[in-house]
Amino acid sequence: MSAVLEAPPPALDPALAALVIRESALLDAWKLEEWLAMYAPVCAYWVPTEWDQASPHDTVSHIYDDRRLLETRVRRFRHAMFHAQKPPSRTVRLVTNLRAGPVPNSTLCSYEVAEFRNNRHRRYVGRATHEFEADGAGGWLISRKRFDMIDCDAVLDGISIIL
Amino acid sequence: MDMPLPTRGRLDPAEMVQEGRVHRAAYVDPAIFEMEMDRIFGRAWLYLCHESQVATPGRFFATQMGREPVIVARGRDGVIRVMFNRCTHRGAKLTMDETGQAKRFVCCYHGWAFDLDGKLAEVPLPEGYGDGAYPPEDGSLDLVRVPRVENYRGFIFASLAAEGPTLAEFLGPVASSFDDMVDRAPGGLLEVAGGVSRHAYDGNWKLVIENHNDTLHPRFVHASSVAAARDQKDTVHSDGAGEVQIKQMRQNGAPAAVWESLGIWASASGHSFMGDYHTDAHMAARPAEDPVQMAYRKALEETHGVERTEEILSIQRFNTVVYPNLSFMSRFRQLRVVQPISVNRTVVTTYTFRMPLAPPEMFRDSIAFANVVNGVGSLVLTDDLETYARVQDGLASQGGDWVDVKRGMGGDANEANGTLRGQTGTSEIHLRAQFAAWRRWMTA
Repeated sequence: MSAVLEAPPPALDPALAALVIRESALLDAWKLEEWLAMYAPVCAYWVPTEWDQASPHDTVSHIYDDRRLLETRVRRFRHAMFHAQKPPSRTVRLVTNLRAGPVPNSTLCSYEVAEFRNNRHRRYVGRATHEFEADGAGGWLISRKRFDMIDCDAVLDGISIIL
Repeated sequence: MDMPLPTRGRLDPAEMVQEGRVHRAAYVDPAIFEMEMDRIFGRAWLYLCHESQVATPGRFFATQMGREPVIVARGRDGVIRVMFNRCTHRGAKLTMDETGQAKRFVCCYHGWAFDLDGKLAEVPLPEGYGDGAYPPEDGSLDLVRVPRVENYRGFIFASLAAEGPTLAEFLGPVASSFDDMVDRAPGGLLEVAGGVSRHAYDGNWKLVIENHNDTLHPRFVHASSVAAARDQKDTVHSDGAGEVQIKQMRQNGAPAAVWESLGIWASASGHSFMGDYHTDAHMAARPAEDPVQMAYRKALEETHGVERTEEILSIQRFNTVVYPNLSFMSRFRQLRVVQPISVNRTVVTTYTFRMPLAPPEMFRDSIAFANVVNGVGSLVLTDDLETYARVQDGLASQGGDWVDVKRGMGGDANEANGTLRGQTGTSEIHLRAQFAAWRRWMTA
C-alpha cells in the first residue's frame, strides 16, 4: 500500500483500467461465461481471510479458486439446484480510486459489491488487485484477482455470488 | 389430530421429545433457548481449544461457553486454567483479543491487574478503596474460575458445573475419534494452524450439529456442486487447491449404495460418528505410491511401528459430533466449534490442524479441504447455510408442530463399543440420540 502513496505514482494503463470496469460490468450483468473468458488459462481468484495474507496455501481463504475450480464455480450457477441462489442475487459493483497496482501490469482499486437477495442487502467492501498478462494478440487476460475485504476476518454469512 | 402443546414459552421439554419426533419449539422458542444455555451449555463438557493454542506460559485464548465469556490461559507454572473474562471490580471484560501473550490481564477501566492464574495481583491507588487491604489476601476478588477443566489428548474441555460426570465418562466411545486424530499424526503431534474459518447462519445451533452426520442430504443439498464438479475437465490448470476441492465435491455425489453402507454410530450422551465415504485415495491420504504418502507412512511407522501404523490407517471415520458444541473430522483434521448466539443465529468456527512431523504437502491439501468444507464462499457450504435458514423459517410456521426423526428407527443395534449403530448409513439415529440427551439435560 505504501508504494502507491509515494510520488510520483506509476501511470495507470488505460487498457487495463477498461478491463477492470468491464470485468465488474459482466458480473453485474450475470454474463459469467464472458467474465470467465477474461481470465488466463493459469489464473487465480482469491478472497483471503486475513488482511495482507501472504499465501492461499498455508492459510485458509473465503475463496481461493485456480482456473479449474473457477470454471466449476461458474458452471454451478447454471444448475437448477443452486439453493443459495434461489432467489438469485442482484448486484452492483463500485470501482473507484483505480490506479496502477503494486506489480507490473496490475491495477489496484477500492471495490465494493452491493448485493440484494431474499430481502437482504449486503455490502462487501475492500481493495481489489488485478494482475494481467498479455494474451498474445495485443490484448490482456486477468491472471489474478485478489479482493481484500475490510472485514475479511469477521464472522460472515455464506457468500454465494462471485465478488 | 395431535393435541397441540401449550403455547410458546410454557412448553415442557419432557413432552417436546417423543418417539421419533421433536416439537418445533426446540428450534424457535427463545425461552427454550435460554433454558438450553442454562441446562445444557451451563453444565455439559464444552470444547474450548487445543493445547497448541496455549502452548507456553502466558499464551491465552478467549472464547465463549454458551453465554459466558472465558479465558483459557497457561500459567507460569505451566497449568492451563479457565477463568471468566470479567473483572471482579466493575465487570468489564478483561481481554478483547481472541489469542495473545500476556504477563497479566489488566482491566481497561480502573487498572486492576490479574495474574495468569487469575489471582488479583495489583490494585492501583489501593488506599482509596477503604480500610481493608487491596488486593484482599483471602482471594475473594480473584478471577472466578470455571470449576472443571480437563484435557483429553490435547483437546481442552471445561464444564461450568462443579459436579457431574468426568470428561472420559462424558465422551464415552467417541473418545476414540480423538485417538484417531492424534494417532494419525506422526509423533502424536498436532497444532492448530492456517488461520480460522468462521461462518454464521440464521438458524438454531442444533441445525448444524444435526447436519454434520446427516448422510442423506448431500445428494439434494449439494446437487449443484456435485454436478458442476463432475462436468469439470481435469485437463484445465489447477495448482492443487482446485483439484482437492473438486474431488471433495465429486465424493459428495457418491452413489446411494455407498451412503447406505456407511456406518453411523451414536452414544447415550448424544454424540455420534459416521464412517468415511471417501474412495478417492488422494482425498484421504494420497495414493500409496505417492512420495508424500510414502513419507507420511514412514513417519508414522517411526512412531508406531509397521503393524500399528497399518491398523491406524485402516480406520474409516469421517465426522464425529460431541454434543452439544463440537464437530470434527479426525482424518481430515478439521474441527468445528458451534457457538449459539440466539435462538435463530449461530456462529461456527473452524480450526485446521497441521501435523508438524508430516510432509508439508499434506497441510497444503488440508487448507484446500478447509476452504471447500468450511469456507464461507465454498461451493458446498453455501447450500448448507441456505438450507439451515430455510429450516428455521419453516419451523417458525404453525403449519405443523413436529419434526420427524424416524428414519431407520427400530433398526438401531447395540454395538460392543457402547454405541448404537444405525440400521443403514443414512439412519437418523444421531438425531434421536441428540434429542434423548437434550431431553435429559433439559429435564434433570
